[in-house]
Amino acid sequence: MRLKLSDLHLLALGAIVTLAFTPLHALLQQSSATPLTGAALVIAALVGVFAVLAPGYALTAALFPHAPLGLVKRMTYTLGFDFSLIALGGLALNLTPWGLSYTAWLLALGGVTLVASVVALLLHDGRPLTVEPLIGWALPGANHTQTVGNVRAGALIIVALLGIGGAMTLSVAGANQAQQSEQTAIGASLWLLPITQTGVGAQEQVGVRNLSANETTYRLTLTMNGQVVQVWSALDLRANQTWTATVNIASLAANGATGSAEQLTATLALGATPTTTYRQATAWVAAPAAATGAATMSATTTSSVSVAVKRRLAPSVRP
Amino acid sequence: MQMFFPFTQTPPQASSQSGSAHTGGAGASPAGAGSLTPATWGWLPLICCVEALGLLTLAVADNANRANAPWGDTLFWIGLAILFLPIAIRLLSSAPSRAERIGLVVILGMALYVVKFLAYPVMFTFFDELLHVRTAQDLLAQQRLFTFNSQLPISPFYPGLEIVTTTLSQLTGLTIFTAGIIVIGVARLLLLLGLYLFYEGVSQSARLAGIATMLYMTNPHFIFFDAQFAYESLAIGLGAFTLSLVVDRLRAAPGYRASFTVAIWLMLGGLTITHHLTSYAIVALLLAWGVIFLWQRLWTRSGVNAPIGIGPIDVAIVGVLMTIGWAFATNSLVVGYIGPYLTQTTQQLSNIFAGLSPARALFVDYAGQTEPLWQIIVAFAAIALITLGLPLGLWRIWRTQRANAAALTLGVGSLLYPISQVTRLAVDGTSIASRLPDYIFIGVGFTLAMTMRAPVVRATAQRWLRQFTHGGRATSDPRGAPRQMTGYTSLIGRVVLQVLLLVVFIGEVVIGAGPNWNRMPGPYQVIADMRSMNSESIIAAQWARTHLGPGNAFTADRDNRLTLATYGDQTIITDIGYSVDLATVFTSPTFTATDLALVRASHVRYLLVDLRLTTGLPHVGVYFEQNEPQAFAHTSPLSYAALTKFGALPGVNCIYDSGDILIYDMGVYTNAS
Repeated sequence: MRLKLSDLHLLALGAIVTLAFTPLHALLQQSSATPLTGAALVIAALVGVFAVLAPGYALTAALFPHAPLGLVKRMTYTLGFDFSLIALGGLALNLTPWGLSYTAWLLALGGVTLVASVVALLLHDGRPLTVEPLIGWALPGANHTQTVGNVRAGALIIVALLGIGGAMTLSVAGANQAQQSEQTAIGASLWLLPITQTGVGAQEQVGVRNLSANETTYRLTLTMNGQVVQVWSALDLRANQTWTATVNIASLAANGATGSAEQLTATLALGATPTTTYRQATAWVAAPAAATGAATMSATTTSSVSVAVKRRLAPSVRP
Repeated sequence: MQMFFPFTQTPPQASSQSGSAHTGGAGASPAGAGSLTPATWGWLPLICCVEALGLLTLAVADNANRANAPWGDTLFWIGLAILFLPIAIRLLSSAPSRAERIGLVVILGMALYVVKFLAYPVMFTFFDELLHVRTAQDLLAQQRLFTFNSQLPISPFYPGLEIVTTTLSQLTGLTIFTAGIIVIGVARLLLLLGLYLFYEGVSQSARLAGIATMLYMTNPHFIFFDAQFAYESLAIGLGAFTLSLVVDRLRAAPGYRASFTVAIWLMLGGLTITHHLTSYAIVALLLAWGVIFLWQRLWTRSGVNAPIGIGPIDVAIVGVLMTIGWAFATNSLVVGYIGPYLTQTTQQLSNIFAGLSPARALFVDYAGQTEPLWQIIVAFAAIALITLGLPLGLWRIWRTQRANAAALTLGVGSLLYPISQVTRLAVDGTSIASRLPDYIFIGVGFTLAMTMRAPVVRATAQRWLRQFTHGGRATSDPRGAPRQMTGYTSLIGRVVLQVLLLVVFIGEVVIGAGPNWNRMPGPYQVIADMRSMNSESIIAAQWARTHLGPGNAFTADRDNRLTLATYGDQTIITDIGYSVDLATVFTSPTFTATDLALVRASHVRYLLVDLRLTTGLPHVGVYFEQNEPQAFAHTSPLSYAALTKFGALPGVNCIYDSGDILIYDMGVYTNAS
């Protein structure tokens, strides 16, 4: 017996593949801690596209089994039913223990597609759907004039697509360039954050991010109640590079700041104008009751640069 | 074999060439099931090239505006005209086939969708878009519906858009931005095809359907508002498709009516959970249509040829039950959301008409930016042309489509257009007026298309043109019937008509998109939504997520809140979400006991201060909240001292500084540390 494959057979087959892919995907996800890559990712994406588009097509075929709907209506019905099915399917899945998870969606959409395509196949008596072309270029046996017309039309449409692609590329490039300009205009950001809270071992993180497009030199000064406690006189940061340092507050108690709140200030200046405040962040810290010795600092930068600095604060820098 | 002939009514008019609708069959392709010669390409390929040229022009215009070049704005309008005119010219012609007409409306509608993409091609920046992005992010993270969105609490309860987008995102690995662009693009396609099929089903004319769909696209929010990642953009597509199904069902063979009914219920269900206003508008249209249908059948003789059945009244009732049921299921949140707008608009309008308060200044934003004079003139001309054109279309509907309940309904619906314009005079009316055109233009498009096809219009135009071109020697047809125009007169007539159409299109874009900052990308402007959410805001928000972790209680100005909520994944304390208005904490010159009480009551941990707010007035009328002091009436920018007062407060840390943006840690007051 010769089996004549129709779009509905393919649809049902696709739905079975989708349903079969669900445990496979779960297995792949479990076997590797990292997200899917390469061929597995491509397959997952294809299955996803099928799962999203197929239910509407299958439902159209099931609801209107003998209808020569035409390309426009079939496409409209497919898209409309897809959106509604997915929206309402989300409501239904929300009631299940699995929620709107990847696996639940694959099972739900694959299941709907399978059921609808089987119903459609039964109602169709095995006949394939007929989807007529809007334009005559797909008809076999087209005459020479029509062929020439089709070729000319195809060429013009390719030119148009290239033009639209060009417009989009131009726009994306312009938007990215504008973003880069905005970042350059920002220059740098500075922050000062508690890592651990007040008390013995309190630490603050100070960070700088160079947002400009060029390597820039900064001068960073830490002051405690107006007194300089630490200076980085030449922080060279490449474009978009981040630098951080950890400051241990504990040693400051040795200088007589016991129990009272003190203000730690980080002041950033551009290397070219070291006396002009460029960015400033502050943190109120309560000095610990017991002296613990020297302050410890460590600094790191992102990328491949990583510097650790341990420095004893000179007692003379505190009053 | 059972033949499928859903359309049991009189076959559509066999208009000139292939411009008529179906040649038979339920939704059958006009080309038939391969039995007829398929249509030729017509002008479609050439017009595709022209549209590409228009989009290239717009891309250049956007880039020019990004660089603050003064000619960017002019180029924008030229680009829009390039997109619109060729297709309008072709659609008005009698030459194109049905296939070409469908192609033309799809190309125009999709090209106009790309206009918005070209302006912001790498991320969502519209105010409403980021509100919905937050809902989508929550759905994706929790894989559950009905999460809490403090900036648009109703959004998670109408989650259709977010469900579809996150499903596509999950199953394909696309980002929310890419998935959203695709979903809204497909929704736009659904809108175009659904609307075309609806008009075609109502009028039985492919030509009229093409013109009506094109006229729908002149609605003021078609290019930007309806192209944004927001629930109405998807819902209007679902709504248009639902209407086309209802028309198909009316003409379907009895064996398929049940299928259509199931399909309509499915679509109404999807629509109901996607957007409140759109579902109400579509259901209201169905109800009106059903009532007119029944009235025709029961009380007049005009409905004697109407198809057997009860028309759309049953699906309208199902729609009413669904929308009311969903409103109850979601604790009537929608009443609290829409109600105040309606009551305040009514109050403001009554005050305006009673002379108690002035009307809102038109064509000038709240920062004082006035639109160019030519745009104001074109906008008023557009309103005048539409308003003047409607009576003629209504008259023609009454003359030729009196037995057609759907056509009558659309005609009646178009009468809302002049009324909706009045709401623009009220401050809160803009919120309502900005949502009505999507629905009103379903009727306006059809009625104006009827106007343009009215014999009297064509005859008058010919008479005038003959007199103009032949010194009045030509005589007019005493019956007023159209005469075939040839050569020069025909060309001039078409040019005049195209110019009027272009005026309507451009004028409505001016009305809908407003000033330059609302249409095109460019440098930062104070509280101008998409023009305010630039890199500095996004970097600050991303820093907050990285260094502070997600879910901290934050507050900020209207625009930085959105970046904090989406790029920063923070919890935003808002008036609408938590019933705490923190605006005065920012605006008061000194940190008062009231401010302290507000901070404590709201448990807000971090304040993001944007010093750029001191450089200008808010373009949308408010800096923080709708009810802030001097809302919509600011006369001077916020003071620098007011915004930086937190730095002098004991115990308050300024933990982040990027020049314009400062983040203060208020933990010492909220006991959150």
